[in-house]
Amino acid sequence: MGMAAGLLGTGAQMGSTIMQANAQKKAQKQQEQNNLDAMLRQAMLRNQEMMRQRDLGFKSGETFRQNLYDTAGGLAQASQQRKEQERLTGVYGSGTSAAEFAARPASDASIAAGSQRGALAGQSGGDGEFRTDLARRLNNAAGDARNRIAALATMNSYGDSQYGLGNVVPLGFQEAGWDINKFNNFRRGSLQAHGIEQQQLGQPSQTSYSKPAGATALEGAGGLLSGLGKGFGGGMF
Amino acid sequence: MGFGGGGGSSANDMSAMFSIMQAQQARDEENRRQQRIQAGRDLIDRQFDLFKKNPAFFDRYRYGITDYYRPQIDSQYSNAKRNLTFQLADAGTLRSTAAADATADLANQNDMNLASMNAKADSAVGDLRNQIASNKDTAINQLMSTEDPSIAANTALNSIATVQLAKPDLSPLGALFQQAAIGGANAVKSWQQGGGGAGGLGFGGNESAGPGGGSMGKSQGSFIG
Repeated sequence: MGMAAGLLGTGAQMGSTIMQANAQKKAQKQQEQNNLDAMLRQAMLRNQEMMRQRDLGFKSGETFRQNLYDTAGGLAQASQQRKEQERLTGVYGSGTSAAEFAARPASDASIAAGSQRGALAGQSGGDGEFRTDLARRLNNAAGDARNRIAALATMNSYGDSQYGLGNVVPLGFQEAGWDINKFNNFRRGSLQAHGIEQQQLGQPSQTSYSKPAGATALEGAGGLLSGLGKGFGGGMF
Repeated sequence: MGFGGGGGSSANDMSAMFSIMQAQQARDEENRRQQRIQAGRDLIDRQFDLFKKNPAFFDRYRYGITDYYRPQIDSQYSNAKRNLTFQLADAGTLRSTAAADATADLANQNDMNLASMNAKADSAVGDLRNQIASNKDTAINQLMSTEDPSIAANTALNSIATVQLAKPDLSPLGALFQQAAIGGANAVKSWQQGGGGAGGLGFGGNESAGPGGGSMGKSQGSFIG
């Protein structure tokens, strides 16, 4: 009787140990699966964030390239300078267009027009030789002014005229900077959100091992039976 | 943290749900923040694009400047011609080579003064454009710091009000025309006034080709600031 109880107790304890070992093994496998899931999630989150960063970086770079081609690059600046020089020549020539300005009297054929433009009162009644001389000098003066105005237009087209390079190029950089800063801001914000995602979703879940209820019962029963077996054995022998 | 089974406890499930929600909330909030910034930028762009679509705004500014200075230049040119006429007539040289030279010189000065005025007005418009860009820059910086489109819109509106209140520097013109000294007495007087300058038609004064500098040609004073 005592021996049977002892054997049963030993069997129950063994059963409990086996159940615990199985549960531990299962928990370990679950933890391994959790770790694998976490790695996959991390990789997925990293890839998603990398795509976002790449997209924003591409937009940022595209803005930079666009500004370079449209405003800041050598070809763009040369083209802008020529256009502005042309515009300024007209604007400085008393608001006329560049073509009109260039066509202003500068030859003997248009002497009469020139002499009317700047002559003093009382000079119109002079002899022909004087009037011709006056008109020629007036036209020379107009030609001189035209050349200087053209030079002024050329000079200011490189500088701070309305669309001069001194204004247009910095404005181009400023406008590109607004977009680049915006995209950089988005990148920083996205990276911060990615940090939280990694923190919350990228860590493996911890599987806690707890002794199975059956194992506890068997362990208890085994202990009891073993005790009984020892008791009976002690009485008999 | 814990989700995906394992212990299978309800506490773990709750914790997993909470983590998912937090991560989702962080991403959603970031997306909303970016949308707010983009909405603010769109609003600012729309407000400031009004300037691009309205070149008359800048033309009015330019014409305001030239309309203010042009009568002064015309008046001074007219006075200089009249004075020159009197002096030439006094000296009996109204129809001489010297008279033709002096007349042509005044006409040249007039052309250059007008060009300088136009250059100054055009540069002032460039400054106005820079001021507007600077206002836009302020609005955008404020948007990025606040990330609140409504505040950015108010800044944009206030900036536009500021631009419309901007006024050009309309200081009066100095003497722009220097005419030739005609006759002995006038020549001496001119020499005394000019500190022994380079004769009647001498190029004294502060000649400058730049729009922001002094006057063009033989002016005595400065042109537009």
